[in-house]
Amino acid sequence: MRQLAATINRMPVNTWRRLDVNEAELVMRGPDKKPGAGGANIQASGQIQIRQNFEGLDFGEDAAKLFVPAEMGAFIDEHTNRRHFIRIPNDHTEQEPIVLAMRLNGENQVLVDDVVIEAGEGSNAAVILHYTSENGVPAYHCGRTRLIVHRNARVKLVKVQMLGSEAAHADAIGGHVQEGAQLDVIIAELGAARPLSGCNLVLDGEGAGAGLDVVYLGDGRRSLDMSYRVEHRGRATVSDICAKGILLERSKKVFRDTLDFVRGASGSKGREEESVLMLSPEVRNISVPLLLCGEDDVEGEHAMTSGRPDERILFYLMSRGINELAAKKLLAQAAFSSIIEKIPDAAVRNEILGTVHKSIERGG
Amino acid sequence: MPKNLLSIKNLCASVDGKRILNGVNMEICPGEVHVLMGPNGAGKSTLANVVMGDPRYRVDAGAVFFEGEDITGEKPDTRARRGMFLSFQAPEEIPGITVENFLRAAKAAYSGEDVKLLPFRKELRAKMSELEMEPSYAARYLNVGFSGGEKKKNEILQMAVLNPKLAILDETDSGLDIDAVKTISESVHRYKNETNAVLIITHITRILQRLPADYIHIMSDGRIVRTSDASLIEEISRGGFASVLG
Amino acid sequence: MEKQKTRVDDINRERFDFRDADKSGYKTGKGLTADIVTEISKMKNEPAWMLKHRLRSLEIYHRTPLPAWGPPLGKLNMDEIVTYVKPDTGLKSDWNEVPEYIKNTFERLGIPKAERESLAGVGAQYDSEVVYHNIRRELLSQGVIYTDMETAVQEHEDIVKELFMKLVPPQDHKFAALHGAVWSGGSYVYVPEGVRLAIPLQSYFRLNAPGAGQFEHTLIVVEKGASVHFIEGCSAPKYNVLNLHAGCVELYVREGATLRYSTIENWSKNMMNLNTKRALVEKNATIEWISGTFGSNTTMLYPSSILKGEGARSTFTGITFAGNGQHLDTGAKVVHAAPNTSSTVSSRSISKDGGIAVYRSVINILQNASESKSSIVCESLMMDSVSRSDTIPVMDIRNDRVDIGHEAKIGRISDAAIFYLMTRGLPEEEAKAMIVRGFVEPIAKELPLEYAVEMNRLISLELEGTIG
Ligand SMILES: Nc1ncnc2c1ncn2[C@@H]1O[C@H](COP(=O)(O)OP(=O)(O)OP(=O)(O)O)[C@@H](O)[C@H]1O
Ligand SMILES: [Mg+2]
Repeated sequence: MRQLAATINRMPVNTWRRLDVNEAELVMRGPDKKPGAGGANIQASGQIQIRQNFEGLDFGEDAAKLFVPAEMGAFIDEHTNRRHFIRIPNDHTEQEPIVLAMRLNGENQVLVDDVVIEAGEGSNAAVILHYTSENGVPAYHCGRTRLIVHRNARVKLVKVQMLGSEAAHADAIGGHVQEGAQLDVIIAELGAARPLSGCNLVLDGEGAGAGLDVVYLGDGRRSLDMSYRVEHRGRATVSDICAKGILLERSKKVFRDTLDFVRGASGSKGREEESVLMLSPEVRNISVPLLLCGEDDVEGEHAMTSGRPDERILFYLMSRGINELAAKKLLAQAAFSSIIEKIPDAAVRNEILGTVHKSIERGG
Repeated sequence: MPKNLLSIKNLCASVDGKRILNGVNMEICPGEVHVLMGPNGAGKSTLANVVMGDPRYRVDAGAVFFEGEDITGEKPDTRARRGMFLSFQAPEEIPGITVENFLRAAKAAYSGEDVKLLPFRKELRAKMSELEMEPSYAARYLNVGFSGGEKKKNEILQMAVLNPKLAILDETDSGLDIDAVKTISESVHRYKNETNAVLIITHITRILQRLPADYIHIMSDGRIVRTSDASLIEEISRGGFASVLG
Repeated sequence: MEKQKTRVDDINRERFDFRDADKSGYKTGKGLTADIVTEISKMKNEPAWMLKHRLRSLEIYHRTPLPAWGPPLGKLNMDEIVTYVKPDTGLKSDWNEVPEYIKNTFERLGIPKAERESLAGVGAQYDSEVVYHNIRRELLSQGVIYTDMETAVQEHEDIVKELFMKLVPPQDHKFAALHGAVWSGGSYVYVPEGVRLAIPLQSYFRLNAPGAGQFEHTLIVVEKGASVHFIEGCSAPKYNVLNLHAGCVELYVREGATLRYSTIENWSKNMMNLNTKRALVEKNATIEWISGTFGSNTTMLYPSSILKGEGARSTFTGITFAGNGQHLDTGAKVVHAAPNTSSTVSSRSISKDGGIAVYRSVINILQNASESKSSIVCESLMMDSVSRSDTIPVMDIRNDRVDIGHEAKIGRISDAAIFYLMTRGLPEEEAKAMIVRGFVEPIAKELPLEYAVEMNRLISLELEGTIG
């Protein structure tokens, strides 16, 4: 089995080295056998073009490179055991979400997936990538998802990571959004031992929009490392990053989110927001919200709250007889559900809520 | 003599170092209807919140007893489970929790028993229709996007479902249209019996039409300055607070 | 259609930009060697432990790399910096004994006047040495000590030896090590238990020599229940060569004490300002930082508060104005190391004409800091699209029983606000000026009056509309 150990830069700009937030260590594993691992089956209508290779594809600029440096990219190129190119034709609206379910088990422990989604002009689709693993299996997942959303198209990408608590997971998303198009990404990081998740969305075209919703759950000794960024390049682009997290037991998380307004992105607006509920005295909660700005005609905003929920709300709930911890849990689930309800698949929604519920019950 | 349900003794409380309650005394027995009136800013809501254990206020002196037990330092949820209820003047909006799920959780906490989904849903539907609330509100997030009047109805719905021993209604009748006041008043009337009690904080008296008050308290500057029977209401509506404060 | 741009003129630095001929009494050679360091120590007649400290710091300096983050520092060549420039005078406590040209300098900066009118004590440093120090007599009798650092090393050796560079050890970073090796001048303040100073003390640092460095050390101890407001002012004339300022401030705020530390920094645009400030705050004590960064070519400055005792508090109020050619990287650090501690950070910045303003911070809530609170608000105003404004905060929270809130905003003057004011009859320029003034107001109102006036003058808001 081949391995690659790498230190990857997780911050668009660095800060004090001592804080240990600038980068992260990663070990990549290549699968022994190539085809078919993970047992993905793709649900999609006949309109959707699906290929297992990237032949003839010209990526041009690749937003995922921010979190997948060249060496890692080459490793993925060489060792992928799932490669999908999914194209949504121009002006086509795919009614049902396109679902890729990847389940790792004793037979297929290693999954390296590389997915490219191209949404033709004016098209509209939702894609769900759902990762699970059998309990007790030391599963390994490393993935890259790249999106090109052409003019006036709308894409919703949902990535749900619910691997077992021993599993390794490293994932990167890169997206380019053209004029008038909208890309919404929903990321749920709910499993694995040390999930490493990154997403970089570039709003290239005028009026392009991006939404990035993240829910993450720390329980046991899980250590989450997340880096998300939206770059406002085109004029009048709009972004909204919203993250909700719950930290239980002895979990740790580093969450970096960046809004980068580059010169020329006039008339753009971006908002980032993170709220974290800490439900154990032993958790560690690190947030690094960056606002980078080289253009005056923009509005950028960030808000982060951490710790206990609003006292008034807590009092309201408690005045109805619910104890403090239960009230907090209720609020935690409430916070999650406002993001989870955006996932266009009831089964996935319920599975997530069930997982969250269970781990809160256990670890609260 | 029935045992006192609520007993407030010389209660002094402050917020952010500012004194608001200056020694409030009040006794409420089962079966009674009390009305608390007074000018804006007198401290009525503060009293209600302090009695319910709002952590934002500090009790500087005095005590609150419920069924003879000192609850002054108790957490709000413990008080609620004793059978106390507050209908808030400005109920919170809580996104992500539906009315139904919330009430079920509250009911379970209140009663200390599991609340089965289907019977509960049936009960909730029935109570909602009594209050002329659309069943669809049960699936909406708690108070989010509710109109002022709808929030108040939702508070009364909670009272009806939880069936407390003591209900404190803080201006539950304000901001309601005439029909809604009637609906709420009827709901309180249905709830009221010989063993429970209500404390109604109000500026208008229409809510009292179906609910004869036993005592009227007038609060001013954080003190109860006068307590009397229902005839006092007449006096106030004729001459304003000045006539009774003098 | 192009939107109309607002112009805020550069800070008017004329008032500070005058030079005296270099009449220094003694200068070291350029660069940095053990010989130069030993020479400085000898000149100052220092005890052996201090020389040892200097030499050890120098070693650390040589083996410590430049920071791998923040503004580029490559243009700074230590071999070109003269680290010690002694003026041709000793320390005086009467302005009339200070050489005429130096006295004139401080007169032009308004120091003696302020001393007469509104200060409890004044220190004035010219290049590497303090030339004037004086304190009102009634404070002396209360046991307040306010003197230059050199005198403190001689006369209060016990305390200095115990505290000097203990909060900011030379290992902290490269420029702390440099400071440890070549420090000179600065102030020592001791406020005894229970003494509360009604009016401020002020130290003013003036760097006149071209290509020189200033490395003053400020050590303040505020004993139990005492309080004091300390003001630090800095300026220099502009030269074409880089000057370096690497000061160090160590503040000990004992139980129940309050210290307000105000800085108005207005170095010229050839200054590399790499400064370190740190406060240790004990039980129920308060540190208040007021920080205005207007001048310099490059600044790296993050006053830090270590909330060590239960109930300790820190507030930071900062404004940064980055104009053409400036890269100002400022912010705050707070460590919550005890229960019930609280901190607030309020930072504002203006970037214009290619200036770069960076807000950088770290809030650390340690495991034992239950019931602590921290609230951070930072706002950045972008005046044009050739400038930059970045916000780089880190929050590291290890206790769940806390309330942490962070808010940041970036943008330009709101058209709606301008419109609103104009509908009330204000001309557009006036409306914009009013909004910019309003933006800095929260800082201005924290400053002593004469400094607030000063800041208004600094931000000489001659706004002119230009149709782009
Ligand atoms: N959290 C708070 N912070 C500061 N002041 C408060 C707070 N809560 C209440 N007060 C003040 O205490 C006083 C009493 O307020 P309270 O809400 O109890 O009045 P009220 O009698 O209910 O008035 P209304 O009839 O208008 O509802 C008012 O002056 C109010 O401004
Ligand atoms: Mg009220």
